[in-house]
Amino acid sequence: MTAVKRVSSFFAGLFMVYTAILFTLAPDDALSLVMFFMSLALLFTGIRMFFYYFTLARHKTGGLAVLYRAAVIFDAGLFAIDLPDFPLVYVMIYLAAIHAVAGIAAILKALESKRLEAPSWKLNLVHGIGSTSIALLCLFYSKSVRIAVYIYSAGLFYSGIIRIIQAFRKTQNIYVQ
Amino acid sequence: MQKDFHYYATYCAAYLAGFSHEESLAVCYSAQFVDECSLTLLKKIGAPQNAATTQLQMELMNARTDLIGRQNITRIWSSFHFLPVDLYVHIKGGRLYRDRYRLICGPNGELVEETVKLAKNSSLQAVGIAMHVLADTWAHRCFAGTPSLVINDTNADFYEVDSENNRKRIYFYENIKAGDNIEAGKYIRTVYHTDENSIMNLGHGRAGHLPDYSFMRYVYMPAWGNYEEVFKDNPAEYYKAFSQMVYAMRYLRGEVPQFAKKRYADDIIEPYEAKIRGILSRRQLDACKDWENFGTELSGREIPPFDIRSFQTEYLNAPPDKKAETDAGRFFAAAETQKGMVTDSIYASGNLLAGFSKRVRGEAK
Repeated sequence: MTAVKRVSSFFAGLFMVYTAILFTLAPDDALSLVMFFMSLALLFTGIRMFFYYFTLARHKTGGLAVLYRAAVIFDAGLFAIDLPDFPLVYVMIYLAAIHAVAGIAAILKALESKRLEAPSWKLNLVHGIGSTSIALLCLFYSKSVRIAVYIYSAGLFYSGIIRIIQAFRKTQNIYVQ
Repeated sequence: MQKDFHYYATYCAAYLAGFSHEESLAVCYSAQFVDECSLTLLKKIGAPQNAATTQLQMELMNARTDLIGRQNITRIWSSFHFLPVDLYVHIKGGRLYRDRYRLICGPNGELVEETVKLAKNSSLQAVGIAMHVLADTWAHRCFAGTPSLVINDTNADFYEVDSENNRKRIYFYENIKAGDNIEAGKYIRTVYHTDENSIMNLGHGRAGHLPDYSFMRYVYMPAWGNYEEVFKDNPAEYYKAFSQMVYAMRYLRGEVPQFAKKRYADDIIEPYEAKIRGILSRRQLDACKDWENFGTELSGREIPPFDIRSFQTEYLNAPPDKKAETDAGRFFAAAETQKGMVTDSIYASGNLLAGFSKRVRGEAK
């Protein structure tokens, strides 16, 4: 990781942790901000896909589809930002989906590690059960603004901490014959 | 390629190259162990983690795909399973595309020559690793050992070609439990993922196990091919792989003075040609039994089944100062050397996808 990336990763992590704490302190006001962030994420995904098309995907067989998808996602981002009220249930479905995928992946990893008698399987299993439980929580409380904000904030907090750790992580990329 | 070729066929090739039964077993065990030596296994036995030669499915699922994570993945998969054929090939496009394109695997490149020469005067474990790498350059031709949708993706234009050159459509699906069905022409492959760097786009995941089946003859349209089809005749190419392995091992034994690209040991294996081609062409998902029978016929000795625990037990039971002298210790040392050589070469070509090389940077200064 370059020095610039380390610094940006550190400050981005700090910002995410700070935002997560703010959200949990005022969950009722935070929902509109959460939704704004999610719309913004859609917008930036569109921009990133345009960049991807012009640098890489234009060389790919069938790569034009990437350009079309970029246009649609970018447009959806603009549309979502303009919407005065975003249905809460979509936020909860989104949160449930990402936690469910992470949970299932961790459980599968735990099973594989256990088969190989690796000691890390317990940690993976705990991680998997935790993520899957959060996904179920999202589905059971799909109408609760507070739960939505708390779960989103927890994810934001976790990602922020990971970014800060990565900023200080030793780069292991040198091999000597 | 899979265990049938990396273990049993490699045993046959080693024996035909002049190795004894015991030496051939050591070579083929290491060749197969390349597909087993994961970070999880190394951590478990306290071996050097740099020696990882593969990644388990779940390790891959959890692997980071940021720059550092991708470099780690690329070092492993390019060094042992998808050896780049030409690191300096000219191609239209910016650096981002060019770097990926240059990691496409293929036989008879400069790096395969380096790989074989690296194993010269080294351990039998190093020979086994080199044979795994060499064999995979044939099976994994046209795919790259780095996660990349623009290189490794495939589309619906995928056909099996029979001996009369008739095409039969191949259907892919993602039901892992169901497995591959040769008769129905249905095969599993990784899930389509739009993220360029997704682990789903590593190697031949998007073409399923087809490149690893020796009987398979197929036509498809690679993502990098500019809408042109590629025909892969596995029985013919695997035969060349086998012949080249025998030639390479004869060089490693000192029976051939020089190792040169595009040279084979067809004269040595000619008496067995019909037998070998028969095994390679048989429509089956696993040819272990056929190769095992052939190996037993050749040496008159029994070939024990591959046991992943052999290296582990030996390494764990050795005292700390003797671990490097075990077969497993020699395997790990050879794996690190091979990975270092490939990483250095990729870095020296100006390509950062496999990370930095301190040695190359030091020499440049």
